[in-house]
Formats: sequence, structure tokens, C-alpha cells
Amino acid sequence: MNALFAVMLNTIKETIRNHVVYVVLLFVVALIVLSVSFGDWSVFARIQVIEDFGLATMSISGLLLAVFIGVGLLGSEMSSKTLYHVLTRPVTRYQFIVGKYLGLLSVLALNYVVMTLFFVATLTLLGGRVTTALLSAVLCIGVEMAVIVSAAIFFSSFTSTVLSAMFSVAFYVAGHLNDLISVQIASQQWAMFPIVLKTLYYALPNLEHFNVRDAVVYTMALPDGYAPLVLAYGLAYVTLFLVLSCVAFNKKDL
Amino acid sequence: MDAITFSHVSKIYRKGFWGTRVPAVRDLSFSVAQGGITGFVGPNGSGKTTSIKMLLGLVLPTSGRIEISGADASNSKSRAGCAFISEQPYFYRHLTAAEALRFSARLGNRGAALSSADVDRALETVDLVACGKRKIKELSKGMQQRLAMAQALLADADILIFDEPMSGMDPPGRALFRTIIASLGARGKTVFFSTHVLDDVEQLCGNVVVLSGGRLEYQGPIGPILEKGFSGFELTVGRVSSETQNDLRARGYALEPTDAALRIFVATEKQAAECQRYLYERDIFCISIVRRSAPLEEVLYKKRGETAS
Repeated sequence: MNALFAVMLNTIKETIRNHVVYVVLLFVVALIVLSVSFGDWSVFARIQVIEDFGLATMSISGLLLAVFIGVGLLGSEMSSKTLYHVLTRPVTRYQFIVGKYLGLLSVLALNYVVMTLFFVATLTLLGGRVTTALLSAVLCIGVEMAVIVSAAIFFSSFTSTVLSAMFSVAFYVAGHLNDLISVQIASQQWAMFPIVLKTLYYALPNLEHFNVRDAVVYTMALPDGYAPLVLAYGLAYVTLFLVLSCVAFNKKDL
Repeated sequence: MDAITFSHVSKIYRKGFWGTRVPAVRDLSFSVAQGGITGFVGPNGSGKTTSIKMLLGLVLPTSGRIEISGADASNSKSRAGCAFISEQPYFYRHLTAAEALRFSARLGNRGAALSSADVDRALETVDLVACGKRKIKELSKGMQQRLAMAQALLADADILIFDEPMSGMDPPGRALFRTIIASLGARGKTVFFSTHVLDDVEQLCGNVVVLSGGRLEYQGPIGPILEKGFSGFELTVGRVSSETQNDLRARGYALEPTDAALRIFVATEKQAAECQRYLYERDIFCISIVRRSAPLEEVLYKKRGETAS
């Protein structure tokens, strides 16, 4: 446990010194500010535009951070061989993977809290209200980011950094189009390969579950217990991806 | 119980799209006893680094078993009593030298027991006491090697595995490392020491493991190998008269006069004693007596040639 904690703390230090985190943070802040002027173009739904744009920006930032940092988390360790410093000590590979993941997630969570505070402050200043649905949406995006980072680590545990980045983006896109696959299976229009489609549908997480922007924007009520359910769904996928990462990484010659 | 045991270990890498089999280590069996310094030598591509990586769990053997103090090397706990220095130091560049030592100690579950004084003492041993607060990226390769040695010392490990630890170091650094390695051996630690510099092996190691083409070539004391290269004794004296030189030649000794001295070559220990007595009776004193050996490299190559033939 000590070793896992040591790896986690080291990853926090390493990530804090990574400029990409601050660049993405600035990017998000700039887009939220920009959303204020977009809101001005809309006569009746200024707050809704800001809410929608702000939440979408935060979701995209999760993808960017996963691609820029999550993918490189193992890749850079392997190319620079700094992992020799850790794995030649009495540290298991699973401690290394989980420690790296928790370290990165800690920094991203902090980063995400800063983004959220800025978003909420902007919204409140412009007359918007912080609702339960809004907070649920923020939580869901945070969980989605945790899932994408774990998927990025999984991809980088068996392939190159460039391929991992491509797989991560594809995973994000496919995860958000998962509902579309179910529609195609049901309609049988394109379902030339129903087994392939069904496999994809069940293998990929449905990232649209993390997207509750519509409920926020159109002030619709979320089903009772939706946020905890999404949290459990996300945690299940995080666990799955970390276990798969450990299995793949355990068999790798370093 | 041996410190390190390789039992019929093989490693076959799969390369390229079709997974072509590239054997790196073949049916390797040897053991390293507890205590003392063992050299691990062989030419490039002989499988030394792959063997060390397998020993440290970085590479998985295709077949066979490796043990560290009786525990399976694939189990991370077997490395609890080990410290490792690689040819290229692999520290996290964002850490300072002192932070790197603390991090390493925490990985070995010694973090809580580690005081600032311990860190300073380890840095002092490798002449880096002024660099504790400097970032790793600001340190030269030689300084990072010294830091790696400090980390190994701080781990207080019983088994130290060194893979070309003096590569790229300046002469004072090499001298310091030799002294530290010799003192570790003298303190009963097990040092398993891979190197290309056979002079280091000759001076430091009591035993040697020689690899060639991924196979074991020789394992055992270094004495018999050095004995194979023994070529007599060399006595050096000051200037002597031509009459004495002729007399020495008549006794069958080979001479090599220089401007300020005379070197006398004899084949056996008995001849060296006789020659010394002869010189002493004529009030000529030896400046030095040196045992002459062919370089270890030459002996090992010769040995490999013999095996091949």
C-alpha cells in the first residue's frame, strides 16, 4: 500500500508540473467566457446556451486531458524507462498502474473542481441557478473523464502512444454513438453484421449515460437515483479497464 | 541458500510482424552464493542485460525459474532485499536528488524510517552532498550514476545488482565506485556485477559468470581464468652495469633496458626468488615485482575460441 501511495504522490507531482493541464484549464476558462457572448446572441435562452456550452466544454476537456496526459502516462514511462526505477523495487505492476491512475485522477479532479467553480461562478453572476440537475451533470462529466482516462491507460498498456491516442478518441466517439448502434440493431436497416453490432453495443460503455446536458438546459427532472447509478456504472468500467490494463501490462516485457 | 539462482532459463523474443523467434538466453543455469562480488561478463548480445532484466522481473522468462534468496524472482517481494543500478540512470527528472532518494526508499517501504541525516549521509558517500536540492535534470550522467549508487546504499540491500554501473563515469567516479563496491563485498553483501570492463572484474570480483551467445560459458572463481593468462613475473631495478646484464642473460632471463631502469622477465616464482637473491647479493634492489597476466579479455576470448573449436 505504501508503494501504491508513493507512486500516486509521484504522479501527482509529475502531472502538476505538466503544462498541458494548465493549457486545458485555460482553454476551458476561455471557452466558458466565450459562451457568455454566445449567450448574448440568443434572445430568450441566454442562460441555457451558457449552461450547454459550459458543460460541453468541460466534457471535451476530459477527452483532451485523457488523450494528452492519460495516454502518455505509461507511454512516457516506457520510452524513458523511468518505470525501471519503480519496478526494480518491491512494487507490483498492478500497484504501479493503479498508483499512476489515482495520481493522475487526483490532479484532474482538482483541475475539474477549479473548472466547475469558475463555471458556476460565471453562471451565477449572469443570473443562472445552480440546480441539482446541474450538479448531477457536473458529476456525470467527472465520472466520464475517469472512465476515459482508465480506457486511455488500458490502450497504452499494450500499444504505442499514437495508437493509444487514436483508440481513446475512437472510444469517446463510439461511446457517445452507442445509442445509435442500438437504434440500428432495432431498425435492422444497416444491420448487416448484427453480431458485430451487438458485441460493440455491449462491449463499449454507453457514454451518453454521462450526458445529462439536455435535462439541465431544458430543466427536465432526472430519474431518482440517477447520479449514484451513473457513478456506479462509471466505477464498474474504471475497474474493468484497470484490471485489463494490469493483465496486459503484467505480460509485457519492459 | 544461494543469493541468485537461474535454473534452465530461456528467453525467446518475438520480433517483427510475423513474430520471428529471436533467442536471447538459452537454457541458462548458474548460481551466485551469498556474500562476495561476482562478475557477469560476456560480449555484446551475449544475454547479460536480458538475464538481469529477468532477474528483476522486468522481462518474463520463456521457460525456467529464477530465484532471489530462494523466492521466485517474478514475485515482487523477492526484490525487497535487492538494489539495482543500471547502465543509464532512470530517475524521474522532475524530482530533486534528495526527493528521488526518499521516493526510492518509500517504494522499498523504508520511507518512514528514513531521516534527513540518512539522505545526507548517502549523498555524502557519493560526493553529492551539495546536490541534494538540485533537480535530476540538472545533474550530469555521472552525477546521476552516483545518485543511483546512493539510492542502492540507502536501501541497505543484501543483494546488489549492477548493470554496467560505471559506464560513462569520469576516473574519480570510477575509483569511488570501485572502492564502494569493494567495501560492499567486504561487508558480506552479495554484489552481482555486469560489465564490459574486464579490468574491473579482475580487480573486484572473486567469482565470475561468463555468457556467450545466450549460454553459460564459465562459472566459478576468477583465479583459474587468470591463471590461464599467467605469463611470469616482471622485476624492475634501477640502472645496472652491462656486466650484470650479461650475467642475467646468461642465467636465461629476458631483459628490457630503458633509460632509467631495467626490466627483468622470469617465467616462474622460483626463478623470481633466485633472481631477487642474485640482485640482493650485488646490492641491487628491486623497485617492483609484478605478476604478469594476459588481459582477462584475451583469456576469455581464447577460452571461447577453444570451446568453439
